[in-house]
Amino acid sequence: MDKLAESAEQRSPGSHGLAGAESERSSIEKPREIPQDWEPNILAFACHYCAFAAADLAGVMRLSYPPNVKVVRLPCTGKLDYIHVLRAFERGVDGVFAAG
Amino acid sequence: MSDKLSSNKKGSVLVVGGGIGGMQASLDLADSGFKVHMVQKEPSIGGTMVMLDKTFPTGDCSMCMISPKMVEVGRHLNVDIHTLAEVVSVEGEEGNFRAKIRLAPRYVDPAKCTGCGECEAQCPKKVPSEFDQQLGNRKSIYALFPQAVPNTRAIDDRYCLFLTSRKKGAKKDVCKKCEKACKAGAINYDDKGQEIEVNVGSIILAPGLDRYNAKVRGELGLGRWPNVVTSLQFERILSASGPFKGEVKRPSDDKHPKKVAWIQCVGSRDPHNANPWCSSVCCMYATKQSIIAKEHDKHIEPAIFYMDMRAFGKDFDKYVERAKNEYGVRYQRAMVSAIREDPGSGDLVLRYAAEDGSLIDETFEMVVLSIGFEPHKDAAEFAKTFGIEPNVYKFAKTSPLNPVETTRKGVFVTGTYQGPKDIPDTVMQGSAVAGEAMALLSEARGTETIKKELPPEKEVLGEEPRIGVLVCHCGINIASTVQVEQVVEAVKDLPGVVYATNTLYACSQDTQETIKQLVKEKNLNRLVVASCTPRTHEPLFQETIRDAGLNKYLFDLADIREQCSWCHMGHKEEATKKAIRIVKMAIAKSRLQEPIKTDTVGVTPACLIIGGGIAGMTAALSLADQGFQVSIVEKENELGGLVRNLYRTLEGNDVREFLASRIGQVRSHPKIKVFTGTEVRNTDGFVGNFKTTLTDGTEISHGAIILTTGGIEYEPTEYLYKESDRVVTQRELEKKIAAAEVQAGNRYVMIQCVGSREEPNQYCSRICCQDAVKNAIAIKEKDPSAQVFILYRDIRTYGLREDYYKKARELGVIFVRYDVNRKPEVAQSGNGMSVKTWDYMLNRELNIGADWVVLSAGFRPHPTTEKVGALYKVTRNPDGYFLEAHVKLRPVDFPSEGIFVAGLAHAPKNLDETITQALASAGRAGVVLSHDRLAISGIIAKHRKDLCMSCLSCFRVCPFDSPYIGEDGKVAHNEVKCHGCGICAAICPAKAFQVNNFRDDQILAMIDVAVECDTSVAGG
Amino acid sequence: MIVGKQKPFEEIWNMVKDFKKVLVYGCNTCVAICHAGGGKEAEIIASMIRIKAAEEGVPMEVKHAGIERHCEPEYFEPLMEEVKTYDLVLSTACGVGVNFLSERIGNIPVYPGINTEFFGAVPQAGVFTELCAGCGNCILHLTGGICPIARCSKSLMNGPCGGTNKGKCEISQEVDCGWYLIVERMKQLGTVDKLYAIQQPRNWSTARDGGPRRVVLAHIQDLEEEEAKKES
Repeated sequence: MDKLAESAEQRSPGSHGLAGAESERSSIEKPREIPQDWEPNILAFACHYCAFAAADLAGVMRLSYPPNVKVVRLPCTGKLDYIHVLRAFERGVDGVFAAG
Repeated sequence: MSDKLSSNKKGSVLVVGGGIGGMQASLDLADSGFKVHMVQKEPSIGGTMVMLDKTFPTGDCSMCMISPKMVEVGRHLNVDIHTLAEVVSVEGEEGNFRAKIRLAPRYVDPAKCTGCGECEAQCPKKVPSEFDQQLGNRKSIYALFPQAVPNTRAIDDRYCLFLTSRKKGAKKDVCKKCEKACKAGAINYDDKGQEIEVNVGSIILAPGLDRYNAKVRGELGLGRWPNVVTSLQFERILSASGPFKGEVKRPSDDKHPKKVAWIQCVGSRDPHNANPWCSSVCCMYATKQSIIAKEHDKHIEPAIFYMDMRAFGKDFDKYVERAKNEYGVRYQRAMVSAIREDPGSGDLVLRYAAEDGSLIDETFEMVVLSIGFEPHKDAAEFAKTFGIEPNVYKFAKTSPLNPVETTRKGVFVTGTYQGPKDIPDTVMQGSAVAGEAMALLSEARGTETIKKELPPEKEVLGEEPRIGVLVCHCGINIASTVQVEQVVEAVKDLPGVVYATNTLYACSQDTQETIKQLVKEKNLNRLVVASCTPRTHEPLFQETIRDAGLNKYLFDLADIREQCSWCHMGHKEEATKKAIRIVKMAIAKSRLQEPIKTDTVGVTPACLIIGGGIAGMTAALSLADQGFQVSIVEKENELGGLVRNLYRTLEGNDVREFLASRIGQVRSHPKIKVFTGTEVRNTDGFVGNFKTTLTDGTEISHGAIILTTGGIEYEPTEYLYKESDRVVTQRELEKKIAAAEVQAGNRYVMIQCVGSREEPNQYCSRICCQDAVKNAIAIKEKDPSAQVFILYRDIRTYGLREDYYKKARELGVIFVRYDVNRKPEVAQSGNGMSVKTWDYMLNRELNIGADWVVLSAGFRPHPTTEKVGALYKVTRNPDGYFLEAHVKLRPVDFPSEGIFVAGLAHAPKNLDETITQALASAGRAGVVLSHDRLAISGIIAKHRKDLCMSCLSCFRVCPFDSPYIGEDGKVAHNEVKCHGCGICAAICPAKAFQVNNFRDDQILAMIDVAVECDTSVAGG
Repeated sequence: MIVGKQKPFEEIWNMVKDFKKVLVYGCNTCVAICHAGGGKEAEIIASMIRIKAAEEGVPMEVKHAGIERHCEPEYFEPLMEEVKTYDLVLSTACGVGVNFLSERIGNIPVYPGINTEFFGAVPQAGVFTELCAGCGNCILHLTGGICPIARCSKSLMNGPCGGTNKGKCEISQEVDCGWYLIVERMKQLGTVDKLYAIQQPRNWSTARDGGPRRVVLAHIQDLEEEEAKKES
């Protein structure tokens, strides 16, 4: 999807005033200091067939990991929409993990 | 007479072996109206494939691919799995066999066991793990591997402390820790096993393989030098769930090895120390292992020591080239004569002879022995039990013209018991034997299968949600980490929740009854269970609420075991908080759940086959015998395809007689219509409901399609072909031999890989080595004074065909290797020809005078492949052959349902393989056609035409072609083709697609709950 | 179809950061199809602005909406009262929509959320190409259906120029020479002889150079003229 939106312009370089600005795209977030003992709150989007199965296997093997990650199961990571990711960030999640 | 016979035929099949081949056969049969009894010696199904880490060329995780299949077999209403079981006797005949099966004691009652695994955790007795190839340990009460099916544990009475001491007559009870640990009371030390009898119409043998015991070859040091491992051990080393967690380490000192050597043909192609045959798979798995190892640790320098690189399968050569060029894998053509350990370092010194004969000692840090396949140790007994004849090597005896039939009628064979082969060929044979059994037992189809009667569904649309929540302790699996009562407390008053409680085992039989009761008493219209993974348990609870009259999609499962308690042990408070959060997410989704109506579509019980070669005819006969109407469309004016140019198989079968009888059978079969000199003009429809118009105007309705468009032989432009009448192809030579046109004392120089294995045709044509060997043998047998030279790059007489390579050498055929960068040169010389080539053994140029130069010309896809591909919207690989749905597990399917492929249209292959694949395609098509109606899945994308802008985004990205441009010129959606992946829903700019049960509002509701602040946690 | 492209987020942020109540307003026709400014993209941009506002500590209310088309008043009039409660409308419609809404909304600013690029074709998913420049005087029948105005970098009427290079334009190896395409196509059609006729210098007054353009259907024009007469 990302690619689709970005590839809309196929003109020659230089023929467009904004071509230069694009490369300097700034992120929404500002870098900041990470406090000590800070635990990020992470949301994972996992494909039912692979990544969700892998999360299950991690449990079966009793692999230990911090509990600050919750999984939303999707039928395929192709189902993941921009708005899902943005909504998570708007609600204050610290990281989104898409796996599939 | 035939009526009387048919009344005796049984509608059930015994499948012996639960590996991937047996599983494929079972699913195909059970999905098409046959009852299946699966007998598996081990405590779980899965076979060899489950032990593999990844599969090439895609690098997919092997377990991830096979595990859903195992679950499907395990849950299938019409597959009975008998594990720890062996067949002891078989009586009766084709259509009606009686088999006695002995079940060894499991000591765990499957009816009570919930698979929680607490017993295993408590068991003090460690045993080397068979699954991890002795590199790790298991317990004496165990599951073969974590994803085992059935997941009932078994006690190994050879090791169990209690059972062994009781056997020795100990007075006092020893251990019994598992019994104490089992909250379900499933342990039964007095299990004696039992014997059962099944009455079946057909038997499928899929017992799989043993691996060569490489300790026999002492000079290679297996068992003596710890850093020499077998290839299967290396698979376990690579596996992320294996003993080393996927880290490439040496067993002796956990050091990360840099130089790793693979030694090929350990136990194969070696009549003196081991087995004479080629195991067919080792070249490719060694290549795969070296690539994966390199991906795990980029410092590894892999080297593969080999005799011939047998990359004969579809896209195999490209994979090997990638290994060489992109991963820097070194391929060293050499036999390793001995390995010794460098004292102190644990490194290994390999001694080998370079091609020019010089001896080289080279040091490696780790060595992998590519061990080959062999039949089980008890193969002779096994054959006797089933009353079939083994071949000289104790594989099941089959013929190239009937590749999956044993010598006993009604008993079929699949997989490595038929001969060494890889996963896709095994899966293909699995479907092929299913097709054979379907044809044999067609009139008994549906006579023994069970269908469930269901109560009518309660109307809940428009009602306020009334959610019931059940939080499972799973014995102590969840409860020891998660405070289950706190979870119940935290969710019981949430909006929409009318009842919440906890339960010891949510999946137990009595809890299912409790759930049904609750639905009635509390008037629930939604259910949330918080227990284990939906991947295995969702269907169980869905079934339960369906039995209670609720639509099954009004259920959601919160995974608080695999994804919470099991990975956060010792963090009770945080795990409880997380569990509450997970349950709340499920409840948030549940509130928004709606009943999903699933539709069905009718099926036209007929098949269209495009291509009337041997593949098309074989598939047609099998399907017609299954009782379906078949139409064959052949472009040429006669049936037969490429096989018309063939006289004998490598094994000596008369192909012309076979072809004539096949054509006769096809022509006379009342259910087969043949259209020759005709092509498909256009086609429309979807699985179960295709409509095709032929160029002669005929319209055909059919439910399935098999593409058997075949291939053509490459017409050489090199080596003076067409310029000199002394230069012929193997096919032309075969004709001359058959017509006895060859003269005594002639000298033949055969050149291999003409038009194959070179850009732009970087693939092996698979049959040419056998063809050369076949013709060479025919010449030498007729006229020992004739001289035959075969100039080759690698001799690829894989599997049991290796025998003929050996035979040719014994007859005096001279094999000279050439390199692709230094190809032979052919020139006219007087009346004859002369061929110049470099001999790498003698290290000098040879100049061979020849009466005949014979070119082993490869295959090309048939020119119609492109057109047919476009017509049916099926993709082709870069070489132009049809691309199957999945290279390992769906070798005859296309991603679009109801369309199948067989024969040369798929890839170059031998006659027996074409026949097998044709039978497989008939088996797969039979599964579709045997249904009166096909159910459309509930989890599909729903399209709202009122929102749709017909922008074609979905149409262009859908992997299954389910969106289409309708007659009104606007985008519409064919739900039959939809798999519910939701790519359309993500890309649609108008949000006109929503996936049932994964709707955006449901996902957003889950996200909101998942990340909301933690202040509301009760007791946390 | 009109092809648009989302503005860099930084530019959007600089436009909106001083407003307290912002509506991101999508148009569900052309710019939705090119994944630039439909209701879906409006929702995405709104979400990004909210995140940025929170990040910067700027109190701001940001909502999104989408309507069928911004270039016809009947679509946005029913929502106009509500739209007028915002301080700023960030329109993700094409420039037409931004102009049109701006003319009718009264005291509220309407800013563009996307750059309007051209009208183009969609040869494959996610790819948009400019084939027509809308010059108001079509000569495609003379040039084999390939427009020299839109597809020749210099909009030459009698091409190609000296910059043609193996089928490519001198400005970039990525750009086809429009005139090369015209010649090849006319060869294929067997009408290459037509190219020997010299085209007269072009009258650009039908294009943008003649000022803003207006198309009025003939019968409507008659009505308009009648009205005008009556008034005078």
